[in-house]
Amino acid sequence: MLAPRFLRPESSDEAVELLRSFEGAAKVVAGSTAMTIMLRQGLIEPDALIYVGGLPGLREIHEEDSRLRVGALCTHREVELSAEVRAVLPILAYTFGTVANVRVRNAATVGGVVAEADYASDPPAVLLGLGADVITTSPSGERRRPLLSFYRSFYETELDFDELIVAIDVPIPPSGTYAVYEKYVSRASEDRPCVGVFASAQFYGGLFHNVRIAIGAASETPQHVPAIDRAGDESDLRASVIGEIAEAYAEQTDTLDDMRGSSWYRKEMIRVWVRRALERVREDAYASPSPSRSSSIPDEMPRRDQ
Amino acid sequence: MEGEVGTNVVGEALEVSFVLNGRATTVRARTHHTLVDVLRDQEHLYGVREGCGVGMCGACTVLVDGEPQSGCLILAVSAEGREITTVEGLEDASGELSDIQDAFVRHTAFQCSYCTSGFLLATKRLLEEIPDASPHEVKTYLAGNLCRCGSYMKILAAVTDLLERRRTVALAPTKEDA
Amino acid sequence: MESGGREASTWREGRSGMIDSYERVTGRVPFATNVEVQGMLHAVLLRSQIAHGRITRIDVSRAKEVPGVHTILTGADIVVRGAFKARFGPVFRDQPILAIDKVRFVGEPVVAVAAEDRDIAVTALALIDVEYEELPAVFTPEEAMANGAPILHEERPELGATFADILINRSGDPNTCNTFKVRRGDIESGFAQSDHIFEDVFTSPSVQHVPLETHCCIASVERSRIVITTGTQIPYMVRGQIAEIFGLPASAVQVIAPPLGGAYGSKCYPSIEPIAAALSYFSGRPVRLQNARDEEFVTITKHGVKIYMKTGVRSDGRILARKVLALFNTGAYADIGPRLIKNGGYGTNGPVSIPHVWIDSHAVYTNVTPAGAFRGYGISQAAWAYDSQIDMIAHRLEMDPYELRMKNLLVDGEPFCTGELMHDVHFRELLTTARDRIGWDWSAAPERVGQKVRAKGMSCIIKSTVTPSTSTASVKLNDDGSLHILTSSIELGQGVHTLLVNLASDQLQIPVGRISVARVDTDVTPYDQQTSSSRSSWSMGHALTAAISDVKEQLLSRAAELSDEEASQLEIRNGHVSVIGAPEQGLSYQEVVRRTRAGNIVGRGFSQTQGGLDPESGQGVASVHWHQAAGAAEVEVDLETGHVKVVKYHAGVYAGRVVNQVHGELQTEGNLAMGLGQALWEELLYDNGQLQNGSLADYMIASFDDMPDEVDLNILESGRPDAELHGIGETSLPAVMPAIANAVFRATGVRITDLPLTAEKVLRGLKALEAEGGAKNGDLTTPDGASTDGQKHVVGSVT
Ligand SMILES: Cc1cc2nc3c(=O)[nH]c(=O)nc-3n(C[C@H](O)[C@H](O)[C@H](O)COP(=O)(O)OP(=O)(O)OC[C@H]3O[C@@H](n4cnc5c(N)ncnc54)[C@H](O)[C@@H]3O)c2cc1C
Ligand code: FES
Ligand code: FES
Repeated sequence: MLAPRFLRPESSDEAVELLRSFEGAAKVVAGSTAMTIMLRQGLIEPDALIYVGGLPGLREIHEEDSRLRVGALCTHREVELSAEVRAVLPILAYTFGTVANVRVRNAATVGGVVAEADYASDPPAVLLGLGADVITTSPSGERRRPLLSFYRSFYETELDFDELIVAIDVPIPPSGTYAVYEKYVSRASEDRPCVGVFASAQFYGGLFHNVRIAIGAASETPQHVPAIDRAGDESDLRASVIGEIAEAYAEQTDTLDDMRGSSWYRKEMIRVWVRRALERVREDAYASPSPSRSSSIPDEMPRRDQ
Repeated sequence: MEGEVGTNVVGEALEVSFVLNGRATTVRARTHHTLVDVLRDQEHLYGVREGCGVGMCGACTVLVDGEPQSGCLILAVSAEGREITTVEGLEDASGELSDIQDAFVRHTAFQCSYCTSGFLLATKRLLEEIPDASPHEVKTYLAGNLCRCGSYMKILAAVTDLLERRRTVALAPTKEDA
Repeated sequence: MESGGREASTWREGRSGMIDSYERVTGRVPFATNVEVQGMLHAVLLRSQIAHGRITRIDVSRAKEVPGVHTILTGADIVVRGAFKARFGPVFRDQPILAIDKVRFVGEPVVAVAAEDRDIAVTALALIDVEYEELPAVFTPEEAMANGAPILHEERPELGATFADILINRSGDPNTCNTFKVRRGDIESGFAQSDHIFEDVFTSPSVQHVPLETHCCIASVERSRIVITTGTQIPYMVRGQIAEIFGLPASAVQVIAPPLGGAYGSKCYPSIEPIAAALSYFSGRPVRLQNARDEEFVTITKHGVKIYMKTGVRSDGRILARKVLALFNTGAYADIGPRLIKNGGYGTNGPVSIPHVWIDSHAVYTNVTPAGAFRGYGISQAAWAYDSQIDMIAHRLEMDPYELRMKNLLVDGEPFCTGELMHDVHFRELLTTARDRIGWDWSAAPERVGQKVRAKGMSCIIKSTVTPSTSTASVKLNDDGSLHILTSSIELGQGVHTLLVNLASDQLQIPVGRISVARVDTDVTPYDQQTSSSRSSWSMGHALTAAISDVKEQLLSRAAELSDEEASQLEIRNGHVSVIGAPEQGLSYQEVVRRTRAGNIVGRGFSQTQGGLDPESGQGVASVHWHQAAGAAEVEVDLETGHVKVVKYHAGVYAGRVVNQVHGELQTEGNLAMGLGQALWEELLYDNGQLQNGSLADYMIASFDDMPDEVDLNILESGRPDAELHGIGETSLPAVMPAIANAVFRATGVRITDLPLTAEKVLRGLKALEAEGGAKNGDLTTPDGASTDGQKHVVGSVT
């Protein structure tokens, strides 16, 4: 075990230069909640760690032109408790609040969870469902990619070795949009998700529009299939419509097998939870037909008084 | 840029400085050493314990700038400049137990107590964050701290008691009011 | 303090929680993991990656070159160069300190490295090459007992001398390391008299104890002396084994046993201690060895068990006959398996009176991690079978399961299957309270809200305590009137030291602040057989009481020297020695010790129980008294996901006399947390002998959020002031799993006979019922559950 070098660049530019100079043998470390485990278990043996934790400018959250930009170094807990996020995208705050435990959320970063590409994660599916873009920088300049084409397979993304995620850019859904995230945990409460389902839709004129579903933790990468979702557009999301969407996701997702559930079980769970998620969207819409800003606020938002 | 590491067989150690329980401290750490490693091996703070090494159990809980984190997931070299609190920092200078520790004692909120430091530190922040926490909120906040002895009901009683006492103190008229 | 404490009971003041509460909330409990010894080396282990194989080559040459590496050791080194025994084990000496010639499970220690620091040791470890020739492996008792199965131990392992009362019965089968039998009545006529005969199969998986503190020890071997500090429940067992390995007198081996950060049975018998000692022997330096979490998972487990149970019942519900075949998967090395199957064997009788009983209980070697003691000691596997079955029988006979249990429960004076007569029996009381507190109503339909359905279930279990057993204690009354307790009972969070201090305080009438418990150290503290089997408060309590009586007698005769009175005219009263009838004149203990120049007064106490069973029939005395528990669960099942949530749980346990209410509650609530996990998801998952979930990210244990919303306890006392203490450290655990499964059955009609009740299994059961057209008979086992075709297997049939 040769301990890797530990390097602390002072800017993003310096960080990506360092990444380039190691030609793939260096790894970015942000919150280190995943990195420490991989390192200690010998799953990776990088020559150097590029610590970006303290870099300036990557920890801001701001809203502009109906988009919310969340800096890559924001911790899960910061997103969860941010007044700004709660006001414009409560579903995002809620989702980050369902991840792991308080300790991990205090360290784990937005960039980290997106880059790690662990299939058993929550935020990636929700970000995908919301239509988020990943913004990166590298010695070749800044890039923006839709999350939809970001994930390749298990722990694999489109990121080049010299690329650093600097932010996630999320469109704020139009007003009248209702969104829910259902994290289904099949074993103890502290487990990662067996299946996670995001669902949202805009409600006006008595009909639902812009139906969007995303499935996490059930397959190698999170799934979002616009062609399936369209079945819900301009509909009243009656049971048969919901059933059709749920069935299509269950059928089309290439579910995996692990100790949280077999591939068969995951298909069953997709069917159940897509239906339940859409039912909740429908109920929320009927219960308060004009939400103040956008998504409905989940009942179980954690609080912080100080 | 700092922190070059030499070519010694296991890597040379870097100096890292932080504030530990109110005291400026410098340790030496190799890149893969965690905060738990250095706090136990070099600072002899045995209240910080490793239970799982993967962020699940909370036996290694420390407060970093006041917020609970898993010491087992923090690379010691990244703790530069942070303020770290361990269970050893909960007593006051005279060795008087904090009200949190006192409540755990009164309710015997432990058995083997391997998990206790973690629960105490998480509770400290819980009380600050949600002073009027409901039992449900207490459970959810502390659910990331595992107790294999299953002392949960007594921990809940201790924290509920603390919440009440702190509220009573907060509501009690101060001298000026009287 | 000359004449303090005149008022009755003032010595009771200032008692609160545990005696070392301060250490417990300030991080200062001196766990073994904290111990540092000057000059110590740090050790790590290279473990087998294959389940069964011959070691063909080990190359440590590159590892040796790493600067800072001190000693690298293999099993062959020990055999060739070590002037000591290479194998150990509490019953059979079958476990090599490091693998010799062969490896028998994934995770078996093969090479040990000791270096100046842990990083160096880990670096060196990565440079060691081991080559194996793989052998066919067996993972279940049935595979191991099949004709032509690979044999784990070609040579019959040597039997150790530790247990004078061990029953060893080795059948012809080479992988069966012990068999225990019960033969009572005439089983065939029992079935002939029965109106209904039920045959069912139950399995419970192997699970891990997961003490948050992993095994850790520091060994220092000198020429004629060995000192070991280790986290153990049985220091005298470690001492005996180490002395035997190194051929030293017991007096040359010192075992220091700090408080434990959890154990639950996992730290009973030596595991890593012999490795650390061997490294120290060769290096001449103290050696520290600690399991990482993934290593803990391959060190010791709870036995996975398959139980075939055939029960004959009269039409009125009376059980007449039971025949059982229990197959305990004891893993690659016997550990305590050969003894545990005795408890797990007669345990399958359950808390019911059955005239005709036939039980065969086998411990079988397989190529997985050794299984040993686990909270409940074979009983939770047995209870899972018999209590599930009685619930199933009630359903088949269309009887109220509460009534069926009540009809069959043992009462005072009735014989258990071992022939001994029951006394101090409280099953009916416990079960009736459980029924009332959970609000049981057999006629009520399960409550359905949306896709969720709620229902209740109950259970009732019996557990023995280790018999025969021996505890000794001594106390030292110092010349200032303060007291030292010397005991080898280990504090593992159950509060035993607090209990002993309170007991001593009551008996000598001095405040707890003047009593200390010496550090457990076999050089100093006297023999105790074990800190397990929920026996310490009872057994060590007796020994301590005897030691204190001894002190009191000596105090009286010493005091008599100082007065005109005969010792028989004196008594201990209010912490003083006074003349009977004249309590106001008394001598303090301090005065007695000082004025007689006694130095100190040493009291010795001894407690022993007798018992034992006949090897052929299992008849005799299995337990001095019987631990008794009932459970009742209310569950909520999501019919679309199969997910089970326990919303309410009632635990009833018989304590005889409660010595510390809070500790009784803690143990019982702890059993609930542990049982909940075992009921719903805990299970070691192996793929070809490779553990798949040896991390707390993959192996789930119960959190705060998994606990039922409502927990209700009934810690039952006999009401007699002199009632025997019944240990409750484990008693309520075996009741949890069947109570939950029985409730899930009532909620859904799905009967799961193979633990755990994962959401997926429940859902599969629901789907199968649906396919069958509803829960008409409801007896369905799940598709991946224990199916009846196993009974056709020649090993697997009880008929
Ligand atoms: C106990 C535990 C429970 C968990 N439970 C859940 C759960 O329930 N749901 C869930 O979704 N997740 C869960 N997680 C995963 C957790 O969310 C991730 O570990 C975390 O988000 C990673 O973020 P980090 O900042 O710590 O990343 P690091 O550990 O620092 O890095 C992780 C990976 O991302 C790369 N990386 C980090 N930042 C960047 C960047 N800015 N640009 C490019 N690459 C980068 C690193 O190189 C590395 O490969 C859990 C983790 C733990 C330890
Ligand atoms: S040891 Fe860090 S969370 Fe378990
Ligand atoms: S008290 Fe033992 S783990 Fe919590």
